[in-house]
Amino acid sequence: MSLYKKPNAIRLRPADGILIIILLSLSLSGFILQKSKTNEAQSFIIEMDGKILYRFPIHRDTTITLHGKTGIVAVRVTDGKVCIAESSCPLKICMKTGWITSPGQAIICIPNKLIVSIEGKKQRSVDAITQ
Amino acid sequence: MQLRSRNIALISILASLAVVIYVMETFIPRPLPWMRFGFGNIIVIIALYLLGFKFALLVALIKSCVGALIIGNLFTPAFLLSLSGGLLSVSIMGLMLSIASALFSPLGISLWGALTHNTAQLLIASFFLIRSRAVLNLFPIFLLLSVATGIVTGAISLAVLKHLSLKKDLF
Repeated sequence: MSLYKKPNAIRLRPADGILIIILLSLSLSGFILQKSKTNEAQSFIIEMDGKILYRFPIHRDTTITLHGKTGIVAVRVTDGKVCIAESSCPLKICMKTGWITSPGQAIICIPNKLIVSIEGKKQRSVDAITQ
Repeated sequence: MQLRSRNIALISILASLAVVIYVMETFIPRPLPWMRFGFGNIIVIIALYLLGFKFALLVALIKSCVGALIIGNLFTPAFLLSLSGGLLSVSIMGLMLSIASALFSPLGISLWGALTHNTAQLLIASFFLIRSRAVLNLFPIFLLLSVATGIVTGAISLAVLKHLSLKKDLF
């Protein structure tokens, strides 16, 4: 006799729900584990005119003053966050960007050709995709 | 494995259904390039319940090979992934059905299948095709996707099997 003729074999069972819950919690814990591993900001980089000027650990509070094309730019680091505290550029877009905190984020000041970005421990995990 | 004409006809019907679904599925836009719903698995599950493990294995084999022939990716990495994932997932589903058929409904069996399929693909991709452990970082996403696709295909197979079981004189 085929399995499908047994009425018990094709009824929803508690074990189905338990399996779903176990798999979901496994996946969730995997996400949390990865988040804590990869999203740690390690250092920040200051680039001007395409050249890296500074690469400092982000957990030391400092203020760095730079001389850009339009004048003085001050980069402030506090509590693992980075912002432009002062800039001599006309529109102050870099100052309005505010604080950046996680890897991959950046503050860009075009008049001064300045990029301040944050680096994490890991680079992106995907390096190839097959289809 | 009885190859009576009734079984041959049933395998042909199920396999062609599986191939058509498999090919049609490639027309659905996918948010992620390697993501698949695996609706072809519905037919494999139905074959498993109607005819048993060996027939389901045959349906899965035909689905992957003929489907790949039509899509045009025969013997490409994607085909190898699909074939190995498909065969492994039937094996695990058959195993689960034989040791715990009273425990799981087709929904649970389909979840096992989706889980095996995705895990096998991920492991094969990371150890043989890309040779990078970084691929394994995708595991939580794959797990989440297998739950989603497993529930969808499982619910559909459950509905179909329920409908079939009401027909007294199907076989």
